[in-house]
Formats: sequence, C-alpha cells, structure tokens
Amino acid sequence: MSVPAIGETRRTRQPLRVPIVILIAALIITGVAICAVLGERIAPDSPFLQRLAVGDTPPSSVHIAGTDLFGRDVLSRVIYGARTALVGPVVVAAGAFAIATLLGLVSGYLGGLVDSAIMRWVDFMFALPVPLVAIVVVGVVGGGYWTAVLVLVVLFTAPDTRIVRSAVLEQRPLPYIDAARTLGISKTRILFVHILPNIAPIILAYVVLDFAFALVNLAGLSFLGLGIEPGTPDWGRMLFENRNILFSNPVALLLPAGMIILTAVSMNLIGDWLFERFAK
Amino acid sequence: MAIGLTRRRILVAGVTHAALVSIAGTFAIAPSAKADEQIESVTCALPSVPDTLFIPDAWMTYTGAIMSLVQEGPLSFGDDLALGPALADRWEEINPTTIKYHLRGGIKFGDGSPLTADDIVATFKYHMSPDSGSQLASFYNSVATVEATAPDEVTVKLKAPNVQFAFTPAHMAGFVFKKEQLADKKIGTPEVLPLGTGAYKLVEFVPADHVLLEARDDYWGAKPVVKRISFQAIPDRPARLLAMQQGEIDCTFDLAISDIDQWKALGNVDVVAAPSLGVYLLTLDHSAPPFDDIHVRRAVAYSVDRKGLVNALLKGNGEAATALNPPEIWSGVLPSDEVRAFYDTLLPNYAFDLKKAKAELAQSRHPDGFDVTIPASTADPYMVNILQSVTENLKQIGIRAHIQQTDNNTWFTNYINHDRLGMQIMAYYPDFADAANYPSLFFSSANAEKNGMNGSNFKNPEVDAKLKIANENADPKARAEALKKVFQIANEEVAVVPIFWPATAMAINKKYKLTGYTAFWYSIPWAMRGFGLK
Repeated sequence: MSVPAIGETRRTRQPLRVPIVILIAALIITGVAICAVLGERIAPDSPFLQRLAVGDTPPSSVHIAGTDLFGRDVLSRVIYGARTALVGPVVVAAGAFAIATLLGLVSGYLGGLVDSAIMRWVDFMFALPVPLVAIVVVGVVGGGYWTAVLVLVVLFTAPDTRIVRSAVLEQRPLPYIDAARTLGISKTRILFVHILPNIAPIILAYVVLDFAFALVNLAGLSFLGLGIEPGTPDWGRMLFENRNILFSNPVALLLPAGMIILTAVSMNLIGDWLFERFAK
Repeated sequence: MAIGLTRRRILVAGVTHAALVSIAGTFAIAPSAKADEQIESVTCALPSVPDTLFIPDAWMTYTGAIMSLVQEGPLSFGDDLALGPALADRWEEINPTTIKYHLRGGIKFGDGSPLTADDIVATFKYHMSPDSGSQLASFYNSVATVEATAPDEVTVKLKAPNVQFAFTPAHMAGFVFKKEQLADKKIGTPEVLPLGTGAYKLVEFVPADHVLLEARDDYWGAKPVVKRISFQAIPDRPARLLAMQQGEIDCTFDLAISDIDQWKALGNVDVVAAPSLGVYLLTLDHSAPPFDDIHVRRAVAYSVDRKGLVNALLKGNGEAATALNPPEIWSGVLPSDEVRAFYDTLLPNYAFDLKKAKAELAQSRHPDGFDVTIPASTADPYMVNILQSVTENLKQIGIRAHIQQTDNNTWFTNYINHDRLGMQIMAYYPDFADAANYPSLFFSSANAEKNGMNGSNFKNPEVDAKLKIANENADPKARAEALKKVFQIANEEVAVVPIFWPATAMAINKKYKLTGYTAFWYSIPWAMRGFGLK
C-alpha cells in the first residue's frame, strides 16, 4: 500500500479559490433566495395592494420601480416574485434529478434489457421539444403553475438520466466496484453507497444547470399566460402583464426581465464552475 | 420698362390667371379625386377570428365585424344608429303585431343567384326553430309567423306587440342567408362559406386565424372602395400594436382604451373612438349554491371597485356602471339625466366597500367563504384585468376566487351553453339601442336556459311581467315605468353585478379615414360607411 507524499497531500488540501464572477453570481442567487424566503416581510409595500385610483405610474420616491396598471408596487412584486422564480425551478431540478439518478444508476449499472428499455424511453423523450410540449400540456390540461412544474420534471428527467448513466458507466469498470462485488456487497449498496457519492459532483453541477433552464422555461410559460394565475407576483407573468404599460412605466417590464436574466445567468455560471471544478 | 395697361393686356392677363387658377385648383382637389380611388387591399386585425362564420353558431362582435360586410338584413342602422332601409326599401307596421317588409328588386347573393322573399323567411324560421339551436333565437321569441306574402314582400306576425323586434332585421339576427345553404350542416366552415347579399363575398377562411373578403362587382348599392379586405386574428395586444407600427395591418378594432396613448404614439395611426353602449358585468348563478344566497351576491357586489377600474383600465374613457343599461340606451324612453337621477335612487347602491362585503358574507350560508373559478376570454381587452381586481378583493373577504383564462370561442360557448355557470364575466355590446334590450336578455326567465344570455339564471315573475309591458307597449312613459321597476328588483336581488360602461375605439392607418365608426361597428358594413383614402 502506498502512502501519498507530504507535498501531494498539501496540494489536494489547497484552499478553494472561487473566481470573482462566481462570487458575484452566488451573491445574486443569495439575494434572490432571501427575497424568496422573506418575501412580503422585506418588500417596501404589499405586492397585492391595489391602488386603482393611482394606476400605472413611473418610478418615484414613493414607488422606486413605479406601479403597474392596478397601482401595485412593482418592486414589491418583483421581490415577492422571487418565490415562484426559485421554488418551481428548485422542484423541477431536484425532482428531475431524483428520478434521473435512480433510472441512471439502474440503467448504467445493470445494463442489458433494463438499460435498453430505459434508454429507448430517453430517446423518445429527446425527440419531444420541451417548450412546445409544456405549452400544449399546460394549455390543454390547465391546472396552473404546479402542472407546469410537473410537466417540466418529466421532460427534464430524460436528459438527466442519460447524464447519470454516463457517469455510472465510467465508474462501473473501476477496481473499487470489482472489489465491492468480490466482497459480496449487494447491488443496492454498491449503487447508493459506493457509486452515488462518486458521481454526486456531476449531479450537483447539472442540478444547478437544470435550475437555470427550468427558470427560463417556467418564466416563458407564465409569459404566454400559462401556468401562473393572473395577478400572482411572478417575473414571467409580470413580463406578460406589464407589456401593456411599456410606455408609462418601462421599469415594470425591465425589472422582472432583468431578474430572470440575472438569476438564470448566475445559476449557469455557478453550474459551469461546479462542473469544471468537481465533475471533470 | 413701364408696361401700360390696355384692355387687351387685361384680358390676356385675366385669361392667363383664370387658366393658372384652374390648373392650381385641379391640383388642389387632387386628394379628393384620390379619395374616390379604389383601394387594392386592406388588412384588419381582430383580437379573435371565430371558429365558424355561421352567425347562429358564433354570435360575437368579431363575427359581426366580418359578416356585416358579407351579409345584410332587411333593414340597417344609419350612422345615427336609427333604423334605415337595406334589402327592404320600405317597411310598414300594418298593426301593432304585423310588419311588412317590401324588398328591393334585383338583389343578388355572392354566387349570382337572386335574393327572394323565401330566403328571408327561411333565415327567420331558422332562428325560430328550437332544433337549430341558434344563439340568436331569443330575438325571435315574440314572432308567431313569418311568410312570403308576395315575391317581394315578407310579412311578420308577432304573438303580441313587441317594440324590440323592430330592430331584429337590422342586426346580426336579421342577416339573410341563402335558403339552400341553411340546410347544409357544414355552413360556416371553410368548405361552405356563407353567402350574402352584401358588398363583399367570402373567398378564404381559416378558422380562428384569418378571413379574406373580395368586393363584388354586382353589388346593388354603392361600389365598394376597397377591393379586398382581410381579417387577421392577433389576440396579443402589443403584437397588434407592433403589426400596425410595421405596416402589416391597416386597422384594428376593439382597442383596450388603456392602450390608446400607445396607439397614438405610433404616429402613423388615427384612433377613432365612440360611445359603445356596451356593459361589463358579472353574472351569478341564482339557481345553485353559493350564489343562490342573496348575501353572497351582495358580498360580491360590494367587492367590485367600479370607479377604480374605470380609472385604471379605461383611463376615464367610460363610466362606472350603477345598473345594467348605460344611460344613453334609454333614449326614446327617458332622457339620460332622468336615468341618472333614477339610478341614484337604486338602493342599496353597492358602492365598493369591503367591510360591507365581509358583513354580507358573514350573514350568508358560507361565512367561511368558498372556492370559485371564473372563466375569462383572453381576447377581450378588459376581462382578465377586471377579474384580477375582483378576485383580489374577494380573497380579502374570504372568497377564494380564481381566474381561468380561455380563448374567446371557448369562453362564450361555455357561457351560452349554461354549462356550470357559477360566476361569469360578460362583456356585452348592444345589437340595437333600446332600453328593454339588456334587461330582456339578462333578466327574463325565457333567457335563463341554454342559448339564453341570462347567465345568472335570474327568474322573477314580476320582472317578466314588467318586461312584457316594456316590450309590448310603444308608449315611452309606460315603458319607462315598467323598466324602472325591473331595474329596482334586479338591483335588490343582485340579478347581475354591473362593472362599467366603456367607450369603444379602433385604430386606422393615417392614410385612411373611417367616418362611419359607431357603437354598432360589428352590425354595419363599416368599410362602406365613409372608409377611404384621406
């Protein structure tokens, strides 16, 4: 048995150097997360309070981002809207990867007929255009935001399954798996105790990327009037509803649009960095 | 060099000046000559194009905007909204229950076949037949018989005198179909496009997408100014705005009043506005819980911020509705100031008051509130926005109200089928200006069934009796008294929850003009009413 040299040990224990861009991205996501958790408590005004007599107004000292058609404070609605902006994508990313991890582990490790069946299903799902299917299903079935989330969970599962399977296939021929088999460890234990921790960084990196895709998809559905119910503070829905007051209060449109872009880009950057740092 | 004035020089100068003035004058009136030119094509956007062009199955303003150019009734509305001749060059009331329509000669359908009295009889009978399921059947409830009493004469006998029937031959309910086509089950589809006697004929129809009309050379009236008119469905308001900005469309109807400033800012557009005589309202199904409870209905009535909605959504271009009828629609029965004075006496007045709303709900059988889903057409400029405000207010008193967005056709089909009515939002624009029109549609027991507009299923024998008086009696005073009683009862019972009376507006490219835009733009051949180049 070889013992690593002192120098090697020191190299592996080097402090994690995080690029400034990633720090900024993390800061943005933290800010959004705080808004999502605290919502109404940190908003300067109630996001639901209507002032019909006031109507849509441009930014002012009273309403920093102005008001919408119903006289509701735009900034408060953007802050409160962080909740749907985070919750849905988190559920989509976590849900899709939970299912995909299970399927990918089984598919990659067992191989054979099970692998073939799961991969053919993945191939089928790959043939479906995600936004279009989501629009059709949510439009026809109805059910609002959570239907949209459920549809995206199902649609995101297929590509995620393929990623997990690939990672498992890399691990399967490695000596530690052979050793585990030789020791008579059960397949379930090998999958969840030995393989899963080794592919976890890859999963984590892709979960973050899934979040960003889910955020954009859900915002897109809300923009099309699907998913979120009218009146709900939601960035995509605000984009849709505030288009009609573009001339009187452009901030009502630009602020939620900016938040969607910032959040999605930040998550993408973090996901890419995690992938580069841990998965390669 | 001095030039002396001689008689000859004065004569020459005079003739020269006259010639120059004549030439200059010719150039000066050139735009007028241009205005008489035929326009090759015009594209108009509508928030929605119907699934069918068969009016009995698609009685909507957008269907009317298209089909009023293709079909005509025996009568028509003038720019002053008064009745005027159309297919019938004259009509006479023989007695209070008998009306004769004398048809013009030489009128042809779009396929060249002649219009006959039988076509008019067949059209009226189609609406009257319970088997047809016409959405316009209620306009013929008072008709006993209709027959061709001569090759150019149609006689209608009413069961009893009915003031409102006089208008039926002028709006969508009176648009005449070719008799043979009415037997075709596919009428209204792209395979069987309805024929009409109007200035245009249908040449292309893709349901819910677009319609193309072509001017007829053999039209009996004035020559159409525009050769081809196409209607394109653009449900999205900003998309319509951009289409106009890019010059992809030349005109559009049913603008959201709140968008008017944006339209004016385009620069290449004229916005034409007129009083609409329309009304937005909520209907509450009296026949089933929870709205069978008067306290629940009152709670809803108190929860609508009418004045606020007029300010926010109409930018003041409309009026908070204190009753179903806009005051102007009472003209001929009561002056509008007297109508307003009468409306002020209606108690309770249901001014926006969430405390009163909560108190009413607490007295109801549903003190803890309930869930309700309200369908709304996304094509309508105000419905979803009105409901955003209403549902938020209802949530504050404990009623968990949700908005279900649907396309225009689905929304209206559900409503007219009386399919799980519950709470509905309705936008209604009148087919004619008569004080008894709205109450007859929304308050009479006869319309509290499938294909009837009484979405509240409101039934009251006294209201029916008073409506009978208002419909059968030509005396304005008697009608006014009867209708006042109807409105008092409807107000006390919360038959409907009126929201606002909006103005109507359309946008048109600056190079064109449309002088005949009125509240009835969907019932008159608008492209034949002062449309042309400026």
